[in-house]
Amino acid sequence: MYLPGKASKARLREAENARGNRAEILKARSQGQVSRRDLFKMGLFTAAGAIVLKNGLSPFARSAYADDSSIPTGLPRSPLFGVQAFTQPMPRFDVLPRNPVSALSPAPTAQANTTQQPLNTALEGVGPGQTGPIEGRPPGPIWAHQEFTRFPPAISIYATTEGAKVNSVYNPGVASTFNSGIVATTPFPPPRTTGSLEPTSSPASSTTITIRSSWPGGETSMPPRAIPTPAAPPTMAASIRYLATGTRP
Amino acid sequence: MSTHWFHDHMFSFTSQNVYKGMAGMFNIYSAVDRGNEAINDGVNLRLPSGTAKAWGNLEYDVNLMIADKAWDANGQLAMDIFDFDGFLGDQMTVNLVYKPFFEVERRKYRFRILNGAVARFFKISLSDGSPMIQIANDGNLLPSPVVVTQLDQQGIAERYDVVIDFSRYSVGQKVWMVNLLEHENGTMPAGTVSLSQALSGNSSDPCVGKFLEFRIVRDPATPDVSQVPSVLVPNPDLSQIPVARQRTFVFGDDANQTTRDPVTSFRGPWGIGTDDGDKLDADFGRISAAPKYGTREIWTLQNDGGGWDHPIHIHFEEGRILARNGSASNVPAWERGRKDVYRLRPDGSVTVSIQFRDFGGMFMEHCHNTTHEDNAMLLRWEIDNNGAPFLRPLPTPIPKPQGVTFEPPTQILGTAF
Repeated sequence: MYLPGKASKARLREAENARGNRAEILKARSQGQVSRRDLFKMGLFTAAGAIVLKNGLSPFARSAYADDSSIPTGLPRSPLFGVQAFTQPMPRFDVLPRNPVSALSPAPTAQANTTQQPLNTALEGVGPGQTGPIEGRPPGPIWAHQEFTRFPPAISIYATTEGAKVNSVYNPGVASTFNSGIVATTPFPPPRTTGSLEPTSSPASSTTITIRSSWPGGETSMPPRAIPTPAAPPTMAASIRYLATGTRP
Repeated sequence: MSTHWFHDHMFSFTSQNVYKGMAGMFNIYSAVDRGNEAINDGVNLRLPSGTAKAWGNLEYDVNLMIADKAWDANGQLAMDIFDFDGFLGDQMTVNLVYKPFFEVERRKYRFRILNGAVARFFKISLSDGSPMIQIANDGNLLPSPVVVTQLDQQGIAERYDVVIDFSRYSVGQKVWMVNLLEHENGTMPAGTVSLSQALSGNSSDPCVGKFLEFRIVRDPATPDVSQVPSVLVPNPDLSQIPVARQRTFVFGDDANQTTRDPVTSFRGPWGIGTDDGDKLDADFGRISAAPKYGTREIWTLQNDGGGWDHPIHIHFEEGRILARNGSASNVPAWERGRKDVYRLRPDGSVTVSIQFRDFGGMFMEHCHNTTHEDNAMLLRWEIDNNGAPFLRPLPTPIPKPQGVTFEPPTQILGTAF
């Protein structure tokens, strides 16, 4: 799948260009500018799964530079910017804070809250002045929480999907000595606007690589998040119920 | 109690969103597995964790999310959604950092290992071949711990909890986690290499070899009082629970699409056949199975070929593996708890006992090679809640920014109800 390290510079450049061109299509598709049906119509996509085998578009297409078409072509290896393996500490997950339910506004309801709010016209299919429900769950009794009375919410945890950003509230849940010396109060640095997996300084002098996606629709700050959910003391009655005898029939 | 993860699940967009980082983990604690190794109340298993807090100590309980990634010449995270076999990265990451190190004390640690890849399976050992104790699989502690020197193949979304005892090393030593499993493409692993081959760095797969370094940095400040009891969570006896229904799901390629709904219906090379029916592409408007509330069923998940593998995830309900390829003796010790991801193996089948007890609603079943999932290896099943206000079948919710509307199912398979 990946080109060998000894591949020619021309071959690597060709494959890198192809990857970039495909990434453009991917970006357009993930932003809703082009549908999969459009790609079919343009002949860039086939139902059989042999897709866009065009030189310049697919790194897997027959190369202009490869001397033997039977050799599998592929993607260029990921550059490391001089970073050596096992030189960076592994961050523990960022433990999200547990908040009282009273911190939620509006308060959670058994059925979806369909209070209307203005919609962002950048969303696909949204016109000026349109509104939509503040909760995305389907409305009505069928999609209501089924045990809202017996097991009312006991804690709230705030999580978002948004662009990657500086994490200045990192909580590994342990002291720095248990997190390979990472000082939690030092903010994880911001991503570049174009960078997803980047050296923290210029490539020639960098010593750190961390992944921070800036792709639309799916982005992460560092480190990844974890939610601790207790069953004792009984904030999660459902779990206590299952495990009081150690198991569940 | 258990190790879980959560991630974006947008229809036909899951692989790219998870790859970009829209994934987290969560640990659930209970009286049995409370994350405090000192409390000796006769119920608490006292697994490695810590002692400072009443529950949920993390000092010696560590989440690991392992995933292969690739990036382009600019350091931009790179992916190819058009490789329908499944995208492979060429660099290993743990907790989204390239081949990191982690400092440990000379004592026992619990690691909650998640395969967070798109299409790659892993097979993990330690660089010196020393033992690990597997205590949990997916979200469940095993009936008994299993000592291994290599973990089984770990498919996408599977979670293996292991205990590693670093007291056998001296301060200043290092030991590495090593991946032994080679891939040539996203269909399935090409094969396992020996530990010495993996350490030689000669594999054609750049993700084989060491990927996480443990540095033994000090003696523990206080004695390690954690335990790994010989009995964890015994399996209940299922024999007295009647089996209401048996169903078969076949996972393979060359699937057809029978519906044309512009929102719910999708096309792709992969699909699922239900109860001897044709293999079908995903349509979340189609109902493929509808077990009755409060019943137990046996589902057989069948791989349609030897050229690929599929880690099949069933939403909501966990099951117990009764047999592999029709025989209970084929089920390894580390698969004898409950699971929610079932790795079929090439040409293999997995027979699962599953109960529908808690919440009615609409659920999915799909391959967790997220490329396969996004390219139509997904189906919908549903349970009623044993009363009003449910409808059978459920209408299909069509979400839009302006609100959710409903439409009738596009298709109901003849064997669904």
